[in-house]
Amino acid sequence: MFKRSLIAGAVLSVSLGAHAVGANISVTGTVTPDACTIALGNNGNVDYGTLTASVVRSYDLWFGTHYTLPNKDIAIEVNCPSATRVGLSVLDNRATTKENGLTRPGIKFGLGLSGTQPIGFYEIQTHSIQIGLTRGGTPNNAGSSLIRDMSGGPWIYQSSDVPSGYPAHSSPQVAGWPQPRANTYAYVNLSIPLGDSITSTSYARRTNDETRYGTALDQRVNDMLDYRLSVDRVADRPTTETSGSVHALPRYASTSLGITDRQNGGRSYYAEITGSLLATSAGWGFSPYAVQDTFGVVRTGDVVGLKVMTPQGPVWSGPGGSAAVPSLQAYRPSRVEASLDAGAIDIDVGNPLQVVQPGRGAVVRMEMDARRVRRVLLGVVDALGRPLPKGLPVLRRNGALFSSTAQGGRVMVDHMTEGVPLYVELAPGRRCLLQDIRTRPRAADGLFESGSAVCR
Amino acid sequence: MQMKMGMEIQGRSGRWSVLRSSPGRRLRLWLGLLACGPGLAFATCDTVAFSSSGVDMGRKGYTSLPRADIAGYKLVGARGVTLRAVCDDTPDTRQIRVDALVADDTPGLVRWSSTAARAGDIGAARMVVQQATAGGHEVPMTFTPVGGTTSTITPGPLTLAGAGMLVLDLRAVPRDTDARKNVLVNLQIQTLVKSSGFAPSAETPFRLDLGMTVP
Repeated sequence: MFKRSLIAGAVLSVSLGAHAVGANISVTGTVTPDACTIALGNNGNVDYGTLTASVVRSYDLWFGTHYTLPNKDIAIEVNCPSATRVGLSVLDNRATTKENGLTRPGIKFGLGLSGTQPIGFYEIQTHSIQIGLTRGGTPNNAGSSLIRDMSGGPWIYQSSDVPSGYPAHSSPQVAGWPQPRANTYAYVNLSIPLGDSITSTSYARRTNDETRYGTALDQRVNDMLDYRLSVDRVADRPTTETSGSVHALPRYASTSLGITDRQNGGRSYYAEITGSLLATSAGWGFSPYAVQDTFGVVRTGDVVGLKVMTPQGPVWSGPGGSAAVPSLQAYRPSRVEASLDAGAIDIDVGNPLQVVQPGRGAVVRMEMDARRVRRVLLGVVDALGRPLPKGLPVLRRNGALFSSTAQGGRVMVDHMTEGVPLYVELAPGRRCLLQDIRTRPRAADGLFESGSAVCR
Repeated sequence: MQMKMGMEIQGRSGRWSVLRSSPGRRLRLWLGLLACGPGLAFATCDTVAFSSSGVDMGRKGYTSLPRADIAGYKLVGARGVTLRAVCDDTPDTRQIRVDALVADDTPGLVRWSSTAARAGDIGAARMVVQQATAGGHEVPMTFTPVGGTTSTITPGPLTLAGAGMLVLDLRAVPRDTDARKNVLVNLQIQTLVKSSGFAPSAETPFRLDLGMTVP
């Protein structure tokens, strides 16, 4: 028993010697290079509410194919902790929902799908007031550049001020880097839309000991004409510079004219005309754009001046009844579509939409089977001058049914051709012939001609 | 207390009744106490633990960090943790050993651990005991860094300038209750990075390890 008690005491001693109790704590974290933050007003939501189909149809048409909803403003705020240059990359997270013809990145953005059909697209334009004051530096721009590889890696700044390869502070959308030279930079930008197609832009900025300000006016008159007027001046110096430019797209060429007048002497002018002539065995046509390695020709039948929307922009069919499609995407679907807006009210296009997926270097021939037609609404009476009853079949010479009489004996003839007889079947086996057909020209805002006829 | 511990051991082994009824009880008791001698200076604490074993300062952008009130440093952040010690004894002073800190050149600062990847000497931390309580009673304290001099007794805040011994004065706390047995130490950890000579061009993780022991 004694021995056991002693052993127990020894064990107890060892146990107590190791009985100091403690606790550990680890403090961890990460210090990172700074990136600018970007925030969108209203959490990036642009809400049009619920729009009925009738409301949508009340909006203006874009190239006759899309309804244009009213503009919505949304603020984009970029905050940087120190003076930086900032680049914005706008990514389309619904790029796959864009229509095939709207493939230029950064211009139009997808709106999603309704079933399998694209709903439409949206554009982003900057119209805002920006006021800022920063205290920091401006890099020596001589020989400097901000580069990033196409794989989306970090921005790399190369200049004489910062060692080559200095990684910029970056996020997927914003990039900047610390500025090595202290400086003060203040600016005010004011951009005001003065309607759907005209914008006024003014600015003032001060860097070091120089204050520069100016204003400009841009207007897009239509899809064939736009111009710009601007005045720029450095304060306290005779450096006022006034310039104006006009860009026109007269169907088969692209023209630019400009003039710049400087207060300290000198006036310069420039004029530029570009365009392409595309000739293939399928036809020939003009294009205001440069022809790329994969292109096509659209046959428009006997219609001259039919506007066709292509991935590069609108083209028009020429005297040969063909329109040049200067560029198509290789191995991807491209959409070529006849623009059936108000200017094409008397044109019937059998196949107005073409979706092609050519191989690189291919020359694609497309047939739209377009022709000019006369659409006439006739008021038809019988030999006694009474309007024909409602619901009688209207036939062409070969007996083909193409319409029926409506209220008051009205008959819509979609293809009125001189010399082609039209009949009304009064009863089985009994027809009368439309005679004494008199038509009146279509009104400026009318959709069709009108006229009268007697059925005998 | 030592008696109680010895008897618990005996009791667990089923000898409690034997010990009390044995004719040689007194002798064995003394032998047991003598064997326990080296352990007499130690407390028995059931619980010594931080409120959180890990404190994450998160990801901090360097440029946006504010300047700290310590010249040459920017404050990454400050976090509060509480050390809780529940012991069986009721001493007049409670000693808490502060471990695993490496003294820096700047007084009152401790370096980040050597395990901090790429940390080097770019950062430091300041440990401040905001308050210590025993059974809800605020108690004064002193700190004696290793190889240094004892600080003035204070109710807090008290900066822990590296490894050393934190001593809580429990004399104002009633002994006849459990108040002295329950000690709370509110500690604030301020993490700092240098504001000059350091501009991170990549993510720089850091780590600081702190140990506290009740001997």
